[in-house]
This record gives sequence, structure tokens and C-alpha cells, in this order.
Amino acid sequence: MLYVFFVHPTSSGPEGSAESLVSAHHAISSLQISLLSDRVTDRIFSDSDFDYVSSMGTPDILQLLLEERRRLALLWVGQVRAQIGTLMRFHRSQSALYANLSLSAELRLVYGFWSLLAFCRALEFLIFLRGPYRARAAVRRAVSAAGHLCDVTGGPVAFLRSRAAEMATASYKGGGITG
Amino acid sequence: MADLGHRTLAHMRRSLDRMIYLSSMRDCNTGMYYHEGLAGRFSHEVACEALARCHFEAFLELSSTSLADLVSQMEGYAASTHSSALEFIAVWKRLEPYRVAIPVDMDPLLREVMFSNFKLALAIWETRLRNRSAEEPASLRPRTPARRSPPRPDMQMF
Repeated sequence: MLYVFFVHPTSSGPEGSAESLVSAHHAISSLQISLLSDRVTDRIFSDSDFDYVSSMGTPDILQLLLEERRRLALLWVGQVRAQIGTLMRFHRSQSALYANLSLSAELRLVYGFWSLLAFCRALEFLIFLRGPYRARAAVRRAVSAAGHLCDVTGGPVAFLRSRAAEMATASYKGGGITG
Repeated sequence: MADLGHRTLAHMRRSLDRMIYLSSMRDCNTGMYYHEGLAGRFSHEVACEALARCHFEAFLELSSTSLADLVSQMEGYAASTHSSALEFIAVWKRLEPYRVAIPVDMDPLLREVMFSNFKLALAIWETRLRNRSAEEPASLRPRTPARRSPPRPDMQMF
């Protein structure tokens, strides 16, 4: 299993490395700045909005709120899953080149990635079936697990947030990396 | 940016007003912001950057507000344009002008949350107006359309 995950990376040449680096940088930024932020999760799963609309006593509006929030919640969990998947792929293909992880740390990381991806799938199902407001506890758990994973991967791949990574991002976007 | 905040934006209490005002300063073809007064005192680049920053902050502030607050801000904004509430709602539902009022490089999810909140706020406001109107005796309802005055120059975008 570890062989498949780490020893048999899908890495290509320098162009692939730069692309992978930029994707991972984007994934960490997206998770930390937006997806896991209170600003986004509080609005989508907000009690106050639900209470406000419920107090109006208008079933149509309540139905509209539930539909809209369900749509946003599914979008949110899908994006979290996609960014975690990007981080996992990056780690699988590149991290052995940069980070000195112990075997136990690698195992924990593998477990963390896989369990969170599976949890996100279950969360999507739960939101689809029961709506966003009955999945709030699970959402908090997913946010906590994803945040923890960002912190853990943030150590070995801390260089992602360095000036060099920013420059690589700018260069890649501008077509400066030709491989 | 402080200059812009103290002189112009300080008069706009609602973040919705600020966001719409600042979006009207932007050229939709280039995404650049223009303000002759600021550009005259500083430079076009500095003015553009300050306006973009204030626009971004107004959007972030608005995106954190509750639905109840957003409905209240929309009521206040519509009143400031002197348009009839139901007409305002009908036009906003059809044209969705809020889609072009947000900063360019916003996070897609946050953008979707904002659009969804506008849609909900319009539905809530319309329902409240219709319920209120249904509760009023027919004799108390206005028979003529609301009197209009020209929109404020800074609000002409919508």
C-alpha cells in the first residue's frame, strides 16, 4: 500500500513538478483562506439564517432556503474533497523529494487523507439526504480534520507558502515555466 | 485608501451601498477602477488599487452579514434610489445586477454564497411585502405608483 502511495509516484519531469507545486499551493491557500474559514461555513450552515426564515412562517421561503443551502453545502464539501485530493496527489508524487517524514508520520498522513476523503463522501450523502442543517456536527468534524491535515502537511511542505512558491505560481500563470 | 474611506465611503453606512458604488467606478471591460478626484490627488494606479481594495472589503463585509441584515440593507438601498419596492425586486430578480457588482477575483464559493443570499433576500423581502399588502384593507393601499425622483448619480448603475 505504501509502495503504491509513496514509492511509485506519478511524478513527471520538471514541468510536472512545477504544476504539482502550484496546484498544492493553491489547494492549501483555498482551504485555509476560504473553504475552512468561519466566513464561509458560518454563512452556509448558519443557525441564525435558518431561525430567521423559520420565524417568518412561510413554507415556500423555507423550502427555497433549504434548497439553496443544500446546493451550497454540496458545492462546499465537493471543493474541500477536491482540494484534499490535490494535496494527497501532490504528497504522493513530490513530498519524498522534499520532506523527511518518519514511517509512522507517513502512515498517519495516509490515514488522514483517506479517512477525510471517505468522510467527505459520507458527508455529501448526509447533506443530500438530510439537508445541511442536520449535518452541522459532521461539517465541524470535517473542518477540524481538514484543518489538522493542512497543519500536518504544512510542516513538511512549508516551502509551499514561501516566496519561491509565490514566484513559481506567478511564473507558471504567466507561462514562464516551459519545462 | 484612508482618503477614500474618510471622504466618500464614510457617508455610506451600508456595505451594500459601498459595494455598488465602488463597482460603478469599475470599467467592466478592463476591470480597472477610475476616480478622477483620487487620480488627480495621487495617480491612476494608486486610485485603482485603493478602489479595488475598498471594493473587496465591502464585499467581504457584505458576505458575512446575515440574511435578515441583507434584507434590511436592500430595503435601505432601494429607498435611497426612490424606486418602488416591488418594482425594484422585480427588476433585480430579472437582471440580477448584483452579479456584476462584485469584485473580479473573488473566491468562487464565496461568490456563490453571496448570489444565493441575494436571491433569498429578494424572495424574503417580496413575500413580506405581499403579506403586508394582503393584510392591509384595500382602502389603505396606494392607488397611484410611487412618486419618483431621478436616481442619485452614484447609484445610476442600477
